[in-house]
Amino acid sequence: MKKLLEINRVHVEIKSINKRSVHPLKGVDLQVGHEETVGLVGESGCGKSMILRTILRMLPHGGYQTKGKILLNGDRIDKAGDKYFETIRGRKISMVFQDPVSALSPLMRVGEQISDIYRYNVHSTKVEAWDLALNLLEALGIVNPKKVAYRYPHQMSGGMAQRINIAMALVCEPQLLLADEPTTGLDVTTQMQVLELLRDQLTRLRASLLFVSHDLRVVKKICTKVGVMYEGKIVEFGKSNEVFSSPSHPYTQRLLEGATL
Amino acid sequence: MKLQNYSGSEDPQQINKYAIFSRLMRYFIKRLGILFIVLIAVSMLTFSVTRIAGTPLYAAIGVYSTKEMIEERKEQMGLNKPLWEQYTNYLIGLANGNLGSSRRTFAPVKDEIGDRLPATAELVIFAVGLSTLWAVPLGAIAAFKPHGWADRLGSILSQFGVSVPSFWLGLIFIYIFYYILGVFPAPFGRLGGADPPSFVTGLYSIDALINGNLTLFLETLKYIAMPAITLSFTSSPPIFSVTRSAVSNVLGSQFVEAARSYGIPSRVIIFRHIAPNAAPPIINIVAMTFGYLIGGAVLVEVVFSWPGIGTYAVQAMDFSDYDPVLGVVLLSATIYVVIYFLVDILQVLLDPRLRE
Amino acid sequence: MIKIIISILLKNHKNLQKMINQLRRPPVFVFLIMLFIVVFGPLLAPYDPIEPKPMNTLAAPSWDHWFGTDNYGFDILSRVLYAAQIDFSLALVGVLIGGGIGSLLGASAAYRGGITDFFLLRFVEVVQSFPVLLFALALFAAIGGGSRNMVLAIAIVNIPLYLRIIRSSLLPLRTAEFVDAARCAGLNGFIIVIKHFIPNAKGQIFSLFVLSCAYAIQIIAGLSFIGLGVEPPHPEWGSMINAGAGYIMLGVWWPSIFPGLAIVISVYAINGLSRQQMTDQIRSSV
Repeated sequence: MKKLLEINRVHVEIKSINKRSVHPLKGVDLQVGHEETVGLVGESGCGKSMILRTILRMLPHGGYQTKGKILLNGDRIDKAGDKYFETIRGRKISMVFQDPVSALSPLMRVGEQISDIYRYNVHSTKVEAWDLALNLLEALGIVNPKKVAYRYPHQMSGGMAQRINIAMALVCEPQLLLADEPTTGLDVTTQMQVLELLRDQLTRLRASLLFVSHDLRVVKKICTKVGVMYEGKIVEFGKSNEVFSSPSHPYTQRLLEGATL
Repeated sequence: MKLQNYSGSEDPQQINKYAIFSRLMRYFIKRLGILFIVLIAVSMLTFSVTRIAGTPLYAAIGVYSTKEMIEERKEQMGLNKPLWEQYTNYLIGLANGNLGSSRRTFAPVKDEIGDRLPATAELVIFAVGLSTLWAVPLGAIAAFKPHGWADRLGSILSQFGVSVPSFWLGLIFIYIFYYILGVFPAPFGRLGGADPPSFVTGLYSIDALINGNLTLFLETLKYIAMPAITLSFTSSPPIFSVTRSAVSNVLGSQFVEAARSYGIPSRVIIFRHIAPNAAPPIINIVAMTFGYLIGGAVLVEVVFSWPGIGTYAVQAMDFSDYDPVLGVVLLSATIYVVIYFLVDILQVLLDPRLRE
Repeated sequence: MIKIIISILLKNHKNLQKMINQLRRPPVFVFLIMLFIVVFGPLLAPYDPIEPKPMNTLAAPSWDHWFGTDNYGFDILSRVLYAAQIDFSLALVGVLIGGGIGSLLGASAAYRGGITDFFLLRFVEVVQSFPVLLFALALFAAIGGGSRNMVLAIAIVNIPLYLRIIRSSLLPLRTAEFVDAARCAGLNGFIIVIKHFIPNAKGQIFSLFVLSCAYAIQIIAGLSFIGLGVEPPHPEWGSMINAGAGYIMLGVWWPSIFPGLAIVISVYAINGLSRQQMTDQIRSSV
């Protein structure tokens, strides 16, 4: 049974003109199965967000994947052509970002932003896409989808904005959802709501989740498996209750000591 | 599948359209008020210059005049009245469009400026148009590829644009393109003495087109080319810098990254996400450059004998004829301030965030 | 870089080494050479700039006269060198006066806030709504031309510039603790502003100073080109260009081109120095 996502010994280097190169990823091995929720934890700067960007090929200026393979359902995507890759972003793999309001385009109404994604990935009509967007908003628990769809991003709260982001990520029903600290900017009650929402949507779509966070509580709540990252490598990986209760790697132990679970 | 148990997703803010509108109106009126205050201050400055110069009296009379003649003239010119009354009269005169008269030609300054303003306007329009045509695309490309060819080319052009005196550059162009190469005609004004097209807008190029006179149109282009290029080169550096930094900021923002991750094609991202967000500062700087150049094109006008308000002011200056100078100064300051105001309002209209 | 200059004065060897390293960079090197030429120009000039040779007018550049002669027979090279001092000193004095006043006003505006701030800002807006050249033109209409009034014009133009920038960089510090501490110690506002407040904007003031000197040179040249400012026969780059302007169409290029080149090189060198300083700052903060 092929895994949904396989990352084999991936190295990433960022070259810059003024300074020496940085190596955020130094041989990462990671696997995400079908309908699995995998968490990635570690301190800031350990490279967890970089993994997500490497998967989607959105590295910063001067960044390259130097070694290793990334496979989606057995097919290699890291060396795939640009045209083929366009079919992956948004449709097979998509991502939710940390700061909900700044991930939205400030001058465009949110309903339009959601329907745009559907239109350009699936080539539907404007009307179809708009209806789909409204339905999706309703499914995500937004009470007045018609009114909200006409709003601008700065006119909504963090929780509502994050729902919009989730809607945008899920509108084309991807198989894998990447999440880069999606709850970090929200207050605690909203965090829980968003997590529940995510879990329900993932179940509905039978999709997998790769969830990056430095907040161990949140990861424990939603992820069945967890990987611990340290300085560009995965140092421990396994079922979350096992890892959290009896960590084997010393770094994981240090991490758990600092957190209140 | 409706999920009822999500609390907190009700509408926390009732977006009140009426409140936004009234806030906008208040902002508009406040800016208008500031506009008027600034205009009044500008007029006060020019008014004080006319009085400090002490010119109205002695300019009007001349050297050989007796004491009685001086007194009589003083009374006639209203110079014995208190300062406040003089200023109010000045303001009333301004409101009626009275900018004084030239000591040399005895013609009203308003008319003479009116004759020459289209010349300056045409020059500035061409210059700003040229600048936008090269500086904006180059700045955008430079933002997409830092340290690339566009970045380096634009930076060098900017550095030179700032270091080179505009009048000297004009002279160099004249030397190269007229004297050596003979490509452009001698710098003797807008058409070098030929008959202008029949008056529609006062902009020779447009008027020639409207009249259907293609050869005349090409002639106007040949004459306006060098001064416009000169003016454009020295006024475009800010446009390049602002474009580059505005586009660069937008490129680095989270929503562009998000849009890419959703698989939206790059063409769509550029036109629907990047352009509208980068546009306001760019529009701002282009409009401000335009407003500035109306008064700031003096040197280029002088070098190319371009019959605009700049050369008018300089010629008057040479003859110690001060009314025209102050008229031009007042006019260009007013135009600049009004454009500044309009751009401000435009910003608010374009960006929904500013309405809050 | 200021630190390096100061430490030279204090004869600190380690920093002397740093200074020599600085010299290796092109912008600093060019700037220092330009500075040398400006300071020692008159000593380097081969001829007297205002000694006419009516026999030798409008001579093309040659070994005798590297830059040729103008319509009065003056040697252009000598005039360019002498004019350098005049242009630079006018610019420097004007910027120092205007910058000094502007910085003080800006710091006061930031410190006081309230009505003082409001009116100072309006004042800035009003003065800056005049295009610089026309403003100077109006000023000269009121009080006449000449070098002294040129300095005044430069000063007035720089006041709003410095005011704005110093104010905006000091504004966040208005509520800083050291201000309250100074006030508690009993110091009156004026002293606080000068001794404690303004030094925080030192870096900004210096980089603005460099840029506004370059800008001032351009303004002086432009105004002299129109005929205001330095009276003939004193050499000044702008008026030299003016004198030579009519001859360009006849192919006599040297009277106008060389002074203009001097302006370009000066302004470019000064701007280059400030660019170097900025990249230094960026690199050191990374």
